[in-house]
Amino acid sequence: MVLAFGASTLIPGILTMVQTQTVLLSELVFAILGLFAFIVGVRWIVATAEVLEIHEQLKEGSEKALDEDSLTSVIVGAMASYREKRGTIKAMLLISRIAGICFLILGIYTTINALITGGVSLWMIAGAIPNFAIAAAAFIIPHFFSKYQQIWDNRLKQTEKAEALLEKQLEA
Amino acid sequence: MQLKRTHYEIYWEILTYCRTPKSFTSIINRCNLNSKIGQAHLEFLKSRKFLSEVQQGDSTLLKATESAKEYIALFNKTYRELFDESPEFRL
Repeated sequence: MVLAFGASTLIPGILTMVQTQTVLLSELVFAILGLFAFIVGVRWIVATAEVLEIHEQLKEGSEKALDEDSLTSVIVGAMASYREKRGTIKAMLLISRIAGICFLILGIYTTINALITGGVSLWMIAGAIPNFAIAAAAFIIPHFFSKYQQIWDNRLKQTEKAEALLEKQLEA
Repeated sequence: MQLKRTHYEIYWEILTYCRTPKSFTSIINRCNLNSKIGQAHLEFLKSRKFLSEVQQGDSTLLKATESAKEYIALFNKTYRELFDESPEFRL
């Protein structure tokens, strides 16, 4: 939906600027916002796929692993992938929450605007529903990702204990 | 293999790969290390008697020792426990 919002704001804005051969500040601002939303939307999809890939990597690897070494290799790979994606997950959580607040504000603004300009018209207020829906999704999704992050962070913490044991083994 | 591995994970990868004698080049290729870092890790493992040199014809190969087997076993055990103890996203 963020992608759709981005595309629907960016493309008409550019077309208007090209057709009229003039650049209004408001059109420019909306075009930039649309472009930003579009990029964030695409990046979000890619990042989600990358994060879910870790789980797939573990699942597929554990099914194919024939011995203990292969299974540990899958775990090591997944741990390394998570360490690499940890920053991305944090950014996703933050961006999602910020987007949620923005869409919530937009929804409230649309509702108030509809009430002021058109009186109590359900049809006009309904225009705010997509904004509230995106805002809700933007708050719910981080909840699951943060649960995912907690579990993996806990594993990373436990590897520190494992490292202490391994260090002793190396020094023995 | 991947980025962001700890030293312990790299040691484990080297040692499991060297269960049978391996050349320096094959080790750094398999474990995705550059020569300088690979050399440093191998020297460390040799100094701890986890790797020993084996002469095979003209070439010197590296092989994991009995002490390495203990390290590998401990590593496997501790890393498996990470997933046995977590309630979700089990293997």
